[in-house]
Amino acid sequence: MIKRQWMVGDFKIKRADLIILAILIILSIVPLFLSANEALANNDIYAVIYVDAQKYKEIKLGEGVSLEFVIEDKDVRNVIVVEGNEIYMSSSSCHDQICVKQGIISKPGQSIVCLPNRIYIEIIGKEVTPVDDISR
Amino acid sequence: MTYHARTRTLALMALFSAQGIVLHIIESYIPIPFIIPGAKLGLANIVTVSALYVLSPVKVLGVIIVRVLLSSIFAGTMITFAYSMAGAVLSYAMMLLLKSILRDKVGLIGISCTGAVFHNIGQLLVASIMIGSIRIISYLPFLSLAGIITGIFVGIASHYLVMSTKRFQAKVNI
Repeated sequence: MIKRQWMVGDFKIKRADLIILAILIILSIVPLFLSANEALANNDIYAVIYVDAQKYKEIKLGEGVSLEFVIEDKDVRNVIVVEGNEIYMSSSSCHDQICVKQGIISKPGQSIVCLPNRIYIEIIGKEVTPVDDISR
Repeated sequence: MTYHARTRTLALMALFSAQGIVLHIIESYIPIPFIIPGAKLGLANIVTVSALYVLSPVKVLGVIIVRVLLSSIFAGTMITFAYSMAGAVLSYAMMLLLKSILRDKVGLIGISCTGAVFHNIGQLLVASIMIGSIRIISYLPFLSLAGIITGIFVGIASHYLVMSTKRFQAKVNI
């Protein structure tokens, strides 16, 4: 039996490689479906901010909300801006600036993370209940 | 193993570690042309994949630990060290597993892409512990799809590094 393989120069691509690639692609898109379900099921949206794995603040997003606040600690200085349904990190003291580059988020399931400063912002949806939630 | 063979192996391990560190530093200066914050080329994986085909498993682990430790000192912080180490060790474990199960059936592309995806999974697991939320795993699709694409090229590059290292070994062993 002829072994099936594709060549790139003297480099061989084996059939097992293609099967592994397919498995890896499927494995890596699984989390997409998890967060997509959540976005559909809920109504009110909240931004939850975690600092050092502790819940720091929960903000209800919506029209008319506009605030800006600073998280400060030793070498850490992060500025977070909330504008209506949108939230973003406007500046950060971290070296990679990945959190600032992540830009504006506004939909449940989206998040901004700053690993060096251990700050994490996520947007979650909560089903609207007839009785008002007691604010935390 | 003779005295000379041990010295040669040690030199080879040092060579792989040095190559890994240099690739890591070069990589940090290359801007990624996609809009995926945090995505990297994973060039240092070329060294891990190649070492897997040249050295014994324990020696490869030694190369990885030295590489991650020194790269974090040269271009990083202690926090990035934790992420890098978790990613590197998990990805190595999965590559080794895949190689020992499938042996010659799997090529370098399969190995390097598995390494890339599990590197991201390891990093995100540590990040989710540090941050306190498992939802950070929603970054996985973007990071690992980018990792699979660069993993293909890493696999091809590793093929040539393995070839030239084997030629070098044949020449030195007389």
